Amino acid sequence: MTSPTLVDRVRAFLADAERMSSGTSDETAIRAIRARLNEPLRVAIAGRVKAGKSTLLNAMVGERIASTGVGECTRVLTWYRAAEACQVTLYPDHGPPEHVPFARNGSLQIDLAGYPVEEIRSLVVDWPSAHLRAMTLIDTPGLASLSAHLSARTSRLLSSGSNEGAEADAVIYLMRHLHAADARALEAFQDREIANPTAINALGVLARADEIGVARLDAMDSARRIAAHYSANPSIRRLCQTVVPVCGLLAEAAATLRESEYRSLAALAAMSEAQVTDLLVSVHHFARDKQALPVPASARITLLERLGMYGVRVCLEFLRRRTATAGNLADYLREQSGILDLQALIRSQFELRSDVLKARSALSALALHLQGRSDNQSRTILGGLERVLGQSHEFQELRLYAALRAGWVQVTEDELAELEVLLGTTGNDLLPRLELPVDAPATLVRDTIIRRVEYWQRRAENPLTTRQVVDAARIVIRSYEGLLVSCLVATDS
Amino acid sequence: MTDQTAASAAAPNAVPSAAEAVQSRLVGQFADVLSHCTAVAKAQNRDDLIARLNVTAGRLAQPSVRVVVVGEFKKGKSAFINALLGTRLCPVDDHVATAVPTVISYGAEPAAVAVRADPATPSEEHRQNLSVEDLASHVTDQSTLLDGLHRIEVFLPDAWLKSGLVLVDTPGVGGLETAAAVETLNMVAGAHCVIFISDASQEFTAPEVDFLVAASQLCPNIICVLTKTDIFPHHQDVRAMDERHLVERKLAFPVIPVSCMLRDRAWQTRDIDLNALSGFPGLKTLLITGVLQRALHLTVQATVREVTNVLDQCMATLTATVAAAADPAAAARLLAELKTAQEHAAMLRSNSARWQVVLNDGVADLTADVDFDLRSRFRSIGQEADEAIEQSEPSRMWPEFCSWLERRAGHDVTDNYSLLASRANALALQVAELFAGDEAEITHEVGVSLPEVSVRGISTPGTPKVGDLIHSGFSLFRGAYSNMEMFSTLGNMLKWHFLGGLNPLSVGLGLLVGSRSIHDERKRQLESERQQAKAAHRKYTDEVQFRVSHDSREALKAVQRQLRDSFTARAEQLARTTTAAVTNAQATLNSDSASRKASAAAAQEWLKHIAALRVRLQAVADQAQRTVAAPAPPAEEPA
Repeated sequence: MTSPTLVDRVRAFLADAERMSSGTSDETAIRAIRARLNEPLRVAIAGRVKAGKSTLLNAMVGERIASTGVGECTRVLTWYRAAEACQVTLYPDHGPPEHVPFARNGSLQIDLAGYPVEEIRSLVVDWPSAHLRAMTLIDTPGLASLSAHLSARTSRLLSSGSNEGAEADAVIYLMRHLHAADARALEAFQDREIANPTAINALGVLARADEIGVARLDAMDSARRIAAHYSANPSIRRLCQTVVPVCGLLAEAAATLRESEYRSLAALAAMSEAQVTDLLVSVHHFARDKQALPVPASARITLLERLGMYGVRVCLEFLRRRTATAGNLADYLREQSGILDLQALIRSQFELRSDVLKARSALSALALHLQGRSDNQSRTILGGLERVLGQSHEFQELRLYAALRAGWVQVTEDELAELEVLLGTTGNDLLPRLELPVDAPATLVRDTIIRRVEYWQRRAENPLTTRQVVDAARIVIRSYEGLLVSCLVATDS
Repeated sequence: MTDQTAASAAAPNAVPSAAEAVQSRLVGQFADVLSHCTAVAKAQNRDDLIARLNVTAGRLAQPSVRVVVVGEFKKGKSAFINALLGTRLCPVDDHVATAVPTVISYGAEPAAVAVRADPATPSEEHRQNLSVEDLASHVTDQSTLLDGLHRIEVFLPDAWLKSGLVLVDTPGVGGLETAAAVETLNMVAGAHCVIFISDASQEFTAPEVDFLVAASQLCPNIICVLTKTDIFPHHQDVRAMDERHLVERKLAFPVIPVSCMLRDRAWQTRDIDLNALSGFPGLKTLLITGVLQRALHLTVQATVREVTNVLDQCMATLTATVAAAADPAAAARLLAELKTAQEHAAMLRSNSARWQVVLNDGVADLTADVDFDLRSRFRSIGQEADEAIEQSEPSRMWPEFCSWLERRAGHDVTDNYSLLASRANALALQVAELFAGDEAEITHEVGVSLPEVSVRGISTPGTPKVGDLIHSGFSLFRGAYSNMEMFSTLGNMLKWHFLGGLNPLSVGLGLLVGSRSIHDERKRQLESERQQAKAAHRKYTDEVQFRVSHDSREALKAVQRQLRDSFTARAEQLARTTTAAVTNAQATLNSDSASRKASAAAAQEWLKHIAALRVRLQAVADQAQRTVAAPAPPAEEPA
């Protein structure tokens, strides 16, 4: 669904808008909105307190930069951007931004320059990480925190009701169990002007997945079943694409595993079966000071903090089964943690759609900025905005997709399945969108498309079909026609 | 621990626990005194006093201590109960959760009963027997059999339960704002002790602390338990943080870390060290000393008070006889005094008695206050809702608006309920004190003035002279708020109000007509949407308010009736006593000298007997206190 034409149209529109508003107070706002189109996608990581947001961020960036720990850690909204050199900038509520010193002590220790936490709007960390080039990550203070103002800031970031508009283009929402606070927060992240509750730019993560199965070895299987169940839940379907289980601690450890840690684990795994079983009974058993163990208690405590009880069990079970290097172990941990699935999803649902998502945010921000204005200039700009919206087939597809997932369009189950694949799949290849195999001949592809177009035309013309489905059919037909064109173009070339 | 099928529910709790032994000893100690008192009352033909003694004896034999286990979703409540009792009864699973309250009490044979009620007639319950193995299929949220299911009652032949402990496993509280929270608070109001379960993975969240604050006003006896310490290495830090949070909110509850998994293993391997590590022995001690002992102490206090009162009343008539026989010259004055007492007793029974006036006025005031509180809360909700609607497009934010409205309404209803419950409690205490004072005066007037039998022991907060009030089976709000399902049904009505007829794709189509007229059309449409939205939310809040205020009125009426009936019964006994005193005095005066002497002598005999009984009662009371306060034997199961 990447469409250079859409972005061009939006760019052109914004250029016009900027020109029209030159000299007025809106000019700077519009210029800022235009600039956003050229920046990487902004992805916020949100969720309840201690859901594992910072840990997940570290796993995604590949380094332990965000601080994690037992008590509530992230107290300030922190943006992580790709840059050549490391730098931290503090943006207070009132006053100019300033660079602040920081130290690397395990994670990043940032000096807040005497500002109390309540008066800081955000921190921006510039960091030379390859992973951040594709997207800017925003680490948020937890929702339902005992410090209400912390949660309030996150709510404002996510909700498009604030003056800044939704500052994030997409959100990864971490939940531990379906909870009243979780559903609320997801609902808050809605883009009001462009589309109603949308599943397009939100992904759900069942975080700390190992704890759901109380750190048993089969915990992740259990978590996968539960995540699948949540994905099928109608209220969740409306609010995010899908839910995947992730054990963030394991993923963070996999990305940052040290040789010394590997050696300690190998030494423990080499002990007798009885000794290992005893070690793994509980955290107390694992960490207690007992003589005749090849690894001292302090090192074992560190291992627990890095991997968690589940991680330790997984590592020892793996190392006992075969000889492996540190690299093998790290790969295995990464696989077990579920982060590979998450990263694949992020790629297909966010990165491949980043143009559309950014265009959407830009238009939404502009619409919010001009909301309620009745002067001629604003009305003209808003009119232009509506035209761009109306003419952009990509937005139409997005809205239809969201409406389908919310259950507002009364189609049959088969039709629903077909449309979810057609509209939900990203990438330039049209075969996955038609659910055809890779080696399908061009004739088959063409015939499939034509058959479906005819089906939907009949549906649209049937007088008993509801208005909503008729509108949906028209959008679907247009999508198929676009596919047919690209199919014919491909065969010709 | 993931074994869902409840295997045979008999726990390997073969050793009778300390609490059970204590209780049977108490019954034995008091049996003697009670039977003698009954004889005394019988001699005076006081069947009403005999009935009172029987009730007291029954309560002593079965003091019921309700311990309600609450906590957020999936924190390990069911696993905790299983570990505490050493059974596999409550279904434990990674995914499904408890959906219905389960009341676990003593029964000679393992049994389970599903209690259902039709929502239309919530006071009629029908009971259906279940097999214990089927429990999981009924209790969990995946069950298809949940319709109209109020609760499940389970009976286990467990020694701990025999001592009078009743455990209630509750569905998770998903936050103070949900309708389920009011249900849970309802159960908390009827509990002697609340065990609040949180896990050791993180400190208390804001919703958990809010819940604790609300619960503390309804039940002062709360124990916080942190579960899953076997997989979280930092549980001591979490405990310290939790304690700090509690101190900040001026709550002084103990926070106890436990591990149900280690406890389970300790059962299986009979490992004492593992059991100690699990944290359960410490918790059990706390439950015994803090909860059971306190309850038993109250029971002893109440028993002593009841017996003393009965003896006093029996004494009254005898004293009158003796006084009349001793000094016939002063007969007129004696009779006058007795008649005054009789009048006072009649007054106490009448509608214009002080306690009745305070009760009736108090209930009327409280009803008005609670109603006003509810009204003003809903008025602000209405204003905020109107404002929100004015500032946005209803069709676009309707789902979010609805959930906000439900939450706000739920939250305010919970606060209103807390107000009702705590003030009703205060009123009950006030009335009881007033009555007790008047009763004492009358007893004094009838010539009985002996020092009270003292019961030393643990001082219990909030229960001055009215421990017996608590023990008259007085639970204020069990099942008062029966209308909580309404939140979800009304909520559904509210939710789909707009989305049914609206086409979310229609905006794009209007573009064909040109932008200016679209704006005008939108404006008109917007206005009408706003009006509809305001009407819809008003309808919802009116309905909620109507039902809640109906429920709270009913609750208060029930409180009033209960108090009135119980104190009126007492007043009638007193009236009978004073009347008997007058009759006896009269009879004595009217009889000749010989029979006067004879009846005086007989009366003196009885009086001596009663005095001896009082001494015996004091001794038994002391003995009982020592029994109750005895420390629990160390390292019970699984040694």
